[in-house]
Amino acid sequence: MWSKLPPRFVARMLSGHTVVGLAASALLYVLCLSGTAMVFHEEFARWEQPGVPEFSEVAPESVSVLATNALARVEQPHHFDIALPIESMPRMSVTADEASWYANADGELLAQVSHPWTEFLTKLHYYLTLPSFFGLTLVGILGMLMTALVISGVLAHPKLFRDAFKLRRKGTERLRETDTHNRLGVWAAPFHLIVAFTGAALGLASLVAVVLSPAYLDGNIETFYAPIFGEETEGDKTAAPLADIDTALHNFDAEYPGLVPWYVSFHDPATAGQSAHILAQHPRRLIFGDYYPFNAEGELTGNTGLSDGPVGQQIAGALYPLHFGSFGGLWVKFAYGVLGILACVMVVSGVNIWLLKRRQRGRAVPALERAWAATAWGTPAAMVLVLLIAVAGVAQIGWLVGIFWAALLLGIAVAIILPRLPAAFAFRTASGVLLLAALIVHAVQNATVFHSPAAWGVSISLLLVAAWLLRGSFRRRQREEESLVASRA
Amino acid sequence: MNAFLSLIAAAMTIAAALLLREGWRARRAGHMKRRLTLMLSAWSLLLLSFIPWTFASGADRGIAFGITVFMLAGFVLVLMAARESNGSRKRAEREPRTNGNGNGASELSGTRLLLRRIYVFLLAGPISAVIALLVTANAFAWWNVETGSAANRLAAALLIMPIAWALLAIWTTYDVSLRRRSLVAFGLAAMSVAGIALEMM
Repeated sequence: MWSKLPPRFVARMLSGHTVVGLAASALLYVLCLSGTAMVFHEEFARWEQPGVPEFSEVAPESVSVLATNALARVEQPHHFDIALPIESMPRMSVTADEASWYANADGELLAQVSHPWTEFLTKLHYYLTLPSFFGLTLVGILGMLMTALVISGVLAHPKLFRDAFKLRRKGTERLRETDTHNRLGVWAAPFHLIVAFTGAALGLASLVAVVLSPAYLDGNIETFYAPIFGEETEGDKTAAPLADIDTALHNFDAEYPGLVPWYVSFHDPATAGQSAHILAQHPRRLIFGDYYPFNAEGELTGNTGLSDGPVGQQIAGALYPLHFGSFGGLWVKFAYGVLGILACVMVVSGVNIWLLKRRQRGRAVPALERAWAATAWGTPAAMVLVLLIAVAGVAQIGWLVGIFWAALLLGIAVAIILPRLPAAFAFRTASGVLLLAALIVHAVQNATVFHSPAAWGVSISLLLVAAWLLRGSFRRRQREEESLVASRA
Repeated sequence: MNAFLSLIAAAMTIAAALLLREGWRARRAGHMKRRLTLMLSAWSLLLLSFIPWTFASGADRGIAFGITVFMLAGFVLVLMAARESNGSRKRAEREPRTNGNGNGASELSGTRLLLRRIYVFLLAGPISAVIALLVTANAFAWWNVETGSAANRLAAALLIMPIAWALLAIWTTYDVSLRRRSLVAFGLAAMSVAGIALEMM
């Protein structure tokens, strides 16, 4: 059926695919790369503070102690969340509005939570470092464009099944790039579609809320998401004892033995009008979890319905895990890591095909070719530069954002201005060297507190990535020199 | 038990990808009958593998696992194909396809080309966004929360908006005349406005 698509339809679809792809390429690439790294945000957070104690379970009494200790440190917070140890993040932490601390298994406060690299990654991937609403919407738009690209890409591909297992690594450059683009595109299409669509839905949700709530909910954006995620109510702010966490957790364990409590959260804690809930993971479900509110005495009062409510509510609850691959442990994260890299390769090869076609038609744009090579390899280089600075602890998040964009734009400008600069080689090598430097700085700084298994895993993985970057870089350089010598001979 | 079931499910999924490749090879060798058998077996096995996946990991999560493993298996097989390809049968490269009358707009130049591109950008971007929001608002307005639940209405709105915009972006950059693209887009906008007005009456 697919092979019978009319050639004219295919050509027209391909034309649209090219237009959308070119419009989205650079920012989409930044998103894909940062998203691939974001899959491992919990592991990165553990790596950044490898000395924090890790444990798989905590007694409800200790959680109560932690809450008391934390509330003694801050003025009346509006939001108060205790993160309990889970498989992917076996640490306990507490957040009171903006301040966060890790805690030990006895509920004693330890170091402040500080992972600037993970924070930067989050800011880059969620918001492209822009102010929240605009950033989120732009990211949503890019997700929508990626959705359009996957659909138009499949429709513009009449040999979808005929060529499904054909990947030629020899032949002309355009043939190689086209094969790479098409083959990876076909096999990873479900992933690309899911990630793009969930990203678009999450990113554009605020825009939908801003537009629809004035028209249909009397302008109350606060209550817009209530049918899915429940509602926060503003209550009496008079001081009162904190709702009984200890009893609530005991009740929860008795009532839901198969579920994993993840967060204990309060709105206006220790007030007469406080509201509290336990967010629990459902180990056999795609949803991120469900909320279980409890009253001042620690009695559970039902659930929000993300796990057993209307189908739309359950779908909404699955968007985040589907987007970030957080639904199946480390192996799904690795799968998402691989598929995320394929998405990056797809974006790069797509633009490469367009550039090569232009060159074949005698309309080459060398400056753009260099700029694109600088974008493809400059983005990881700029990200790794930020990693190095974050690990060294010499700059705050605002600076990290500035450094990232300045480094990337400078790299692109240098590649355009200096035509003899082998941009891909230079930036790939820089990425490898900077990554090695970041690993050395991290190891030196944390030599005595390298306790977290995740920290070892991340360090070894990053070391392998650095080796791959440097090896590939020098092999490519070697090949280029050999072909230069051959052409001179 | 779960681990054992997961292993069986994974083996079935990988076997389905392998059968697909054999079907592909049979097609290349001209054995069309064998190809059909292999293809049918492959897709059937893939569907069947969702049963152990579901029992091992839950319904929605199990299917997600199955699809993930299938993609990875396909990717590995494609990588293996790349290693096998020696490039000896190098295909003559086709001349790049020239576009018809639309996005390539090869007959235009200068200011007109620039204006056309700006218009396509506006049509696929902000105008399509507004139309997608109108379509979403329509669904939201007409949704009966008594029978369809408020949660479903909200979820539908959150999902309709990006898919409507994506489809509009595809259509407005599809290489047919700009007039035709605009007509369909603005026609949809008019229908959505009419729908909202009707609901408000």
